[in-house]
Amino acid sequence: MTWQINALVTLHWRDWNGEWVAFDVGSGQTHQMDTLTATVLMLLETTAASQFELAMLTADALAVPNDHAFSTALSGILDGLRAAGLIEPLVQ
Amino acid sequence: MILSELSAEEVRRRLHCPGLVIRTGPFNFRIRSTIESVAQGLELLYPDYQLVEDGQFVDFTVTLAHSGGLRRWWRPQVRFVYDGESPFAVLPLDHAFPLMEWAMNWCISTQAHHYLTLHAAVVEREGCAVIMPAPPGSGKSTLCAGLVSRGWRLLSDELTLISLADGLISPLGRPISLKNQSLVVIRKFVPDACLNQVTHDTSKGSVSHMRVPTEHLQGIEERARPRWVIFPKYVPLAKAELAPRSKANSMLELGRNSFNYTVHGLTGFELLSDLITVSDCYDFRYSQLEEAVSVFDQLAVKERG
Repeated sequence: MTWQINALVTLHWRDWNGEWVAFDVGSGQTHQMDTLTATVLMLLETTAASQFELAMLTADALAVPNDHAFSTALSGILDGLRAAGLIEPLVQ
Repeated sequence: MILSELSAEEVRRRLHCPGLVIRTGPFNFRIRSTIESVAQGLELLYPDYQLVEDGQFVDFTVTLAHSGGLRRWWRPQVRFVYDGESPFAVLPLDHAFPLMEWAMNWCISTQAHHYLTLHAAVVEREGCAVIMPAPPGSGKSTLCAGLVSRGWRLLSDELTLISLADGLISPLGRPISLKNQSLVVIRKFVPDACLNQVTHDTSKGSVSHMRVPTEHLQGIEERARPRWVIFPKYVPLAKAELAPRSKANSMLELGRNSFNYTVHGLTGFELLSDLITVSDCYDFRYSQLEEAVSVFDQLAVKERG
């Protein structure tokens, strides 16, 4: 599955030493997140990507191993972002 | 001209009609009432407040009226009237003064959207403000009253008014609301505190208000810059202690404690995140006011460098 930022979402970011908040102009909601979640979401702001591509890009960006544990964490993050209405599957 | 320069008769005449207009921080309030406890409360707690001349803009008109009909004589009640509506339930007549204070807060929190307004106490020293958001019962007003009696300037015990233009905090300078056990604590901690008569059996228990020291009102136009965000909590027997707190979570908590964060959209987000950027954020537990004030004093000393 390929993920993209929800078309109704426009984000503004703030970061305090790895503590992130993002304000969604579309919904008026403010979201708090960690660096990994923020990195995933910022990547999806720039381009749609599959979980496999996201794993490679984020592991590279954060200099962490792209292993099974990382993949599991990423999967949970994507579920959370989708539940929050911030991302959606790309309809081909 | 200030309120104490009016005779008791003139205060009551104005309250009856056309209304006594006082300035509290950036707002002009017209108070209208024929209820004696309102006049007495204003004379006791607002003697040094500026009166507003005729013809000047009035932000809010607050009317405390007797309920009509049989209730005029049998278990009399008071009604808050605003723009012809009664936003609150009627209350027993002896609740009139606290009702006036709650009504004034309601006017600001629901309508003054030229500020980002937080439900938080705020005090200041040397231009630096401590914002203290906390749910009821956390000891926020008690701590606020304690600090104000030991050299910290009161900006507000309930409403933090943040300018949309520059993020500075405007003083509101209204009497400090105290309830239940905090009345006992403050009477002991500040023996010369001027408190209004206690109103019992309100929705918040027994409540009273403490007069703001005169010198705090003299600098009522002086705004302060946010420097600390501190979430206080009274914990029996706890040693007074600050614990660093997540900035991101503090920002979200401030948003939740705001009356109009969502009204302001992106402006609100940028204002609040700028505030968090320049503020140190802490959780604060305390049980003894003297210790608590000392911890705050140390923050101020450190800031002075």
